[in-house]
Amino acid sequence: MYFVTRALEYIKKQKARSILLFVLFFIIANIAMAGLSVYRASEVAKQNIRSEIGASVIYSIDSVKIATDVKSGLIQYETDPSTLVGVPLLKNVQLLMNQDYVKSVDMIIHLEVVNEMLEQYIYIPTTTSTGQGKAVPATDSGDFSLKTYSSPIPTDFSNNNATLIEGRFANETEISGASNVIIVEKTFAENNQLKLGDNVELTEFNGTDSSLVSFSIIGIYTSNIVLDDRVARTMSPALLPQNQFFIHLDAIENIMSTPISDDLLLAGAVFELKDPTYISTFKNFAAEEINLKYGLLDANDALYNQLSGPIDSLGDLSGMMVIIVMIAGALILGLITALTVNQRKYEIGMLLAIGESKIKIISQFIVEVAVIAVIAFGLSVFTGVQAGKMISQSVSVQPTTTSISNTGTQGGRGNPSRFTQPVVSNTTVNIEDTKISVELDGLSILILLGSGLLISVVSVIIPALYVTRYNPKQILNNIG
Amino acid sequence: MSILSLKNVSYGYIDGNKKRTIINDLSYDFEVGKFYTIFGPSGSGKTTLLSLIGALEKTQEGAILFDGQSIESIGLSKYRRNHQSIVFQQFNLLPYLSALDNVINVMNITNNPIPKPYKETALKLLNQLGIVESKAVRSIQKLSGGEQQRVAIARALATNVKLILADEPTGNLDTDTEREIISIFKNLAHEYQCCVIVVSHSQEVAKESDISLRLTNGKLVEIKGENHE
Ligand SMILES: Nc1ncnc2c1ncn2[C@@H]1O[C@H](COP(=O)(O)OP(=O)(O)OP(=O)(O)O)[C@@H](O)[C@H]1O
Ligand SMILES: [Mg+2]
Repeated sequence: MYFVTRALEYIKKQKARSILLFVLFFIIANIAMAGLSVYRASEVAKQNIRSEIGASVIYSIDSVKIATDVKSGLIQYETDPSTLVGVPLLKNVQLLMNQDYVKSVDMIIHLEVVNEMLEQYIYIPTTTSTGQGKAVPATDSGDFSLKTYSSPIPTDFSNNNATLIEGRFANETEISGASNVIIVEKTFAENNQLKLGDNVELTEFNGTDSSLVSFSIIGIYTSNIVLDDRVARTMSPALLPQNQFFIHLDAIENIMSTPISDDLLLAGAVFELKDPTYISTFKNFAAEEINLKYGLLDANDALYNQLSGPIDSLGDLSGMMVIIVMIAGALILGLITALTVNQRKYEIGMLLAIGESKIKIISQFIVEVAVIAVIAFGLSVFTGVQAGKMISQSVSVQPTTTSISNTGTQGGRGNPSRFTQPVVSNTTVNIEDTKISVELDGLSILILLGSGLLISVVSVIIPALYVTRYNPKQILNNIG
Repeated sequence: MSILSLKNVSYGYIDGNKKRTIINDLSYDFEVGKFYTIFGPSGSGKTTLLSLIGALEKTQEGAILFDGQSIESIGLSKYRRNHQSIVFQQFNLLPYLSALDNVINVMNITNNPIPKPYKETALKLLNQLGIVESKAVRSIQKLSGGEQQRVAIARALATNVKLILADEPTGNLDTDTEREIISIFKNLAHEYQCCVIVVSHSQEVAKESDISLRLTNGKLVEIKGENHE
């Protein structure tokens, strides 16, 4: 192991070379460290966004595709949507929910219900810019809509579209007994002087007045959905959040004129997965099991892509930076060592002449570079993170609150309308927590030190070739 | 008994497309306890011959036997490490090590048993050759040419080898220093029972040697030897 001593002595005596190498390594290491820390941070930020957005996947009917295909004549306008391939039928949802990683599923049915005795909420436009055409809704008759839920907390509540201000959701006895319990909106309750424990009588839109079914109010909520003025005006009043009731899925048969079958078309289903990382697995599984021709699985991808886009490009850029700097560093170092090794041919010849093995000579050269590399890379763990912070601050994602709402606007009366009402999904993501935080974990540091050593080894390959080809006799010839 | 036997050794260089023979069917036996000098005109092949004996180069024909065993079967690197030591005209020492560390370096490389601790042994050897401790720990660049040659000889002694080779070891030295170095070589042959082979142009060196050899036409011819006296 005396070659290590030789290497250390060489580093000490060849101060100029050692300092030059150190500076070079230090620059490379800092750029690489900064790049790596930004890269790692962007990965973490993306994960944060994913978990912030949540692990829910919405399964709905692809109304855009249906509309296109109706237009091009591929399907008839009159076609019963529940016969189309891939739409969210009850049996399809049941098939998908049997996966281990599905935590819960919320099956949603929209059903228009009526009671002429109850006052309907009427939307009053906030702006009058449209002038004289101030559309007062045509009816104030008691048109409402029922929305079912099958998970313990309805998706609209778990994603903050609605907030329960009084009461509770259905409990287990009510669910198993299919009890007629209902959650109503605050404005509706006030307008109709209803409170917890009161009853609301409703009948299905197609039914007869005689078949009024009574529901007991167990909860009162407020809607957090702020509707776009234009949307709200064109929307069927029955679908306005204020005119929506929530009942448990198991109770819907009590009011429906037809019994629930496997082929029932749902307005949508929201799958809550155990972890956001299962999203792609789930999507792949669904694509295999069900031909999703007219169905749509969405994990808030638009929002995710919108939010992760800038972080993604930052990550790609920094990843690229690390690779380029590493390659450039190896090349420069190789060049420096190749130049210095030529000055060391007598030394190599002399070492060979006294019987030193080629492997130990090469090892000495590697140690000479590696010691400096390790010191420089080690120091850059501290300085590089600072550089990384500076970089990411200038590119960082501003803390924002972004929300994408995809609100159903179609809602005619009559039976087929049931399927054209997509699930109202509104996700609010608070980005404050997902801003890039530049920190280095042990793995990154290890990767970096490893790369530093790799560079030193690579850069010594050239002199190594020189040594193996070196003929010790040349030391005698080159003299005098 | 000869320590080193050259048996029909030939060696040549390819010059353009024709081969030029430098060493031609050369046979000679070297013995321990003797101080040999080899001289001959420039370009006659002295350095080439020495590099073959030192296993810096492989013979093309014939064989070199060390203690009756061919050096190729010993292994050239192992032979260099354990059985011979060579002193060049210059570039003998690692410039980034002190004289002392240069000697310790070779002690770590050879497989010959060297009494430990290395440092004391090395200092003792250097001292015997006139390098005091204060000089031994200096960077070798701060030593004179003669002192550097002494360090190179100390390095040869530190490996405990019986075969010591030198290629114009006094070429860069003044006459007084040359004389001192020559007496060291002579002493190595006579006191330490080494076989010392020195290539030199110098008459001084030839005069002091036991056997003087001239290299002509690729062969060694004895000019002065015990059997001629
Ligand atoms: N690597 C080589 N390739 C081709 N020719 C060589 C090589 N090395 C030496 N020679 C030639 O071989 C011949 C012998 O060279 P060598 O160095 O052995 O001579 P020398 O006797 O040591 O000379 P000097 O007294 O000048 O040192 C010279 O003509 C030289 O040019
Ligand atoms: Mg020569």
